[in-house]
Amino acid sequence: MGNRLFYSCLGVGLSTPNVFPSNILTGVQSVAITSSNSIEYFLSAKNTEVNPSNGSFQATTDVTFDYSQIVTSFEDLSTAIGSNSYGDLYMFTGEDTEAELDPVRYILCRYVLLESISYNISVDSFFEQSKSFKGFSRYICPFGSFPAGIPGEPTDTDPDCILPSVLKREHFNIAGSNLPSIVNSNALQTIQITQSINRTNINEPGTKTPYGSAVNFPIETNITLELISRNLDGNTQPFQTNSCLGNSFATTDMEIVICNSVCENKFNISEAAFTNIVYGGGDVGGGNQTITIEYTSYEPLGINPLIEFPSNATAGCP
Amino acid sequence: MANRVFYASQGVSIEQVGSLQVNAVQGAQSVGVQSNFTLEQAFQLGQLSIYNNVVTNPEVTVTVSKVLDGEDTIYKLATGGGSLVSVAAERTNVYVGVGDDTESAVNTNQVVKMTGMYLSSVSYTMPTDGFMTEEVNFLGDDKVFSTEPADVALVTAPATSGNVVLRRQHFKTADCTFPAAVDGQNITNVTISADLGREAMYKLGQFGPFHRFTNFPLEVSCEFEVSATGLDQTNVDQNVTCTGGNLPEEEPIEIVLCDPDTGNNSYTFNLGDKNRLASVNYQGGDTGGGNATISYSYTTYNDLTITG
Repeated sequence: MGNRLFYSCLGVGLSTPNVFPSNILTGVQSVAITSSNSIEYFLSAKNTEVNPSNGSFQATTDVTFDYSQIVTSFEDLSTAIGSNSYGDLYMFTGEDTEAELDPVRYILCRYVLLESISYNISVDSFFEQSKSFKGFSRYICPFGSFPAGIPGEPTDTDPDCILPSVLKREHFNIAGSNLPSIVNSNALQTIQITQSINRTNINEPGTKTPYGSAVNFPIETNITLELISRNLDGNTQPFQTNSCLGNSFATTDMEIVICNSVCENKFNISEAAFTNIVYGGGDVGGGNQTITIEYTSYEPLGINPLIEFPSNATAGCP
Repeated sequence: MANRVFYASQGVSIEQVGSLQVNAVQGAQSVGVQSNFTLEQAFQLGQLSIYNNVVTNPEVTVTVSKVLDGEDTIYKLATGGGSLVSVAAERTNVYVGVGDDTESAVNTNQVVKMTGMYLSSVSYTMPTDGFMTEEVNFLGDDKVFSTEPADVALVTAPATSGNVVLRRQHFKTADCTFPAAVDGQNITNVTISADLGREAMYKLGQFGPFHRFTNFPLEVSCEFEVSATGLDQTNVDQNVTCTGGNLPEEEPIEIVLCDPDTGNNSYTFNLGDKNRLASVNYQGGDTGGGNATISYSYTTYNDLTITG
């Protein structure tokens, strides 16, 4: 038995249900699994005791699986595993004496759904993606239940586009991107994009397994731009003088492009509404003034309103 | 090909960006060029070995020192002179060249060009023993090695005639303004220094920084070392009331050096009126036989004007 678990002896796998992942996800930086039981109890007359054996304790389990990953491309939300269909998530663990992960056991979270996907593009860090999944089951399984051998890494299949393993600020194609005009006159530092899918389980009598998962529309895509202030933002919000008139309000389309025309990867945001702008910093401590500006889009992004839980669902370790 | 590089076979020239004037630094004592490649490692779950080792923020540091000899300071050649705040945005091209070690003066055949450098720190030392010196640090992002004739011609041998290096007798005590604690004492050393910091500013879509800003407030320090004839008379008094107490006051400091040819003012270092005593250090006079000294350190912010 090892003395500890650290990055070299951990790995994350993601697949469609009941399919062992073909590879461990590359570039994963962190992983976290949270299991929580929501306790519901009831008391009855003349009895102050809450007795689990007579069913006066009810627990609903939620399992949240989060991981962050260095990526070189954006992912289409509608085709991502867990967005329009269930997925299985694996956290593999091995011995701390190995230079590479040699799985001994793993945690399997069956039938998870994608709750959010975030991207962070920053001047002083790697291009990173974070995902958060939610499910209601978790199994500890010994490795070897599936065909043996460590899942390999994916290979780059496009000979014309050999990207580095990690992307940094110089790989952001600011000239090819379509961003608000405020970016042109200030120094863009960070772009954060978060797409959230808010879901509610639909339950049915006779089983604790949900009938399905319904999406609470609208799907929110939040974009936050952080800039070092060199000029003002140019955003005017005039005082409303006519009760029939409101402030003119227009949405904007944005396109964020990584790399060049050969290897470019694009993220499109349609109908983004400006929601917030904050000036900060530039105080007597000597730091620079920053502008943080937020947009929100409510496009449905190809997400289906309901995912039915499979009737032939598999439980336990494979 | 040269067998070695020594002081006669290397030279340094400075050009204030926009001035179109390249000046060999007269009285240069040393030049150092350091190139740093900051690395950032990415690891990944599942393996010990590095996922990627990335060069993030390469930068170049150049240090040039010279004796004060009545000629333009490195500071003036680099920025045009004046107050530190007014020259904070100036950029400088620094050229370091070497030639054959068989020549009596540098005959440059290869040069390193550091362009668009930012003034990073200045320091002036005025001792009783030795020459008065200036040391300037530059920080930047571009460095190119060249043997092209046009580039090599940027570094020439400095002028050699009529130079008098300043020493203790060129310290114009009568025209200086000293703090009260130092005034009238036997000053053995004066050091003035300022560090502009120069933090890089990056933006998405560009690898190199688009600017290096001076981290204000900019601390300027002045240290006087005096030969002790008694104890230091600075009290430390906690009895400070609403209306004040016996704490160090704000005081003006100005240091003046004279021109060895004319006796007029040669270099002037004006630290403004808001210098405050930061520390007093009494030491020495031990059984080794040395004399006791007192060091007075003064600090101000954003205020240093150098002329000459």
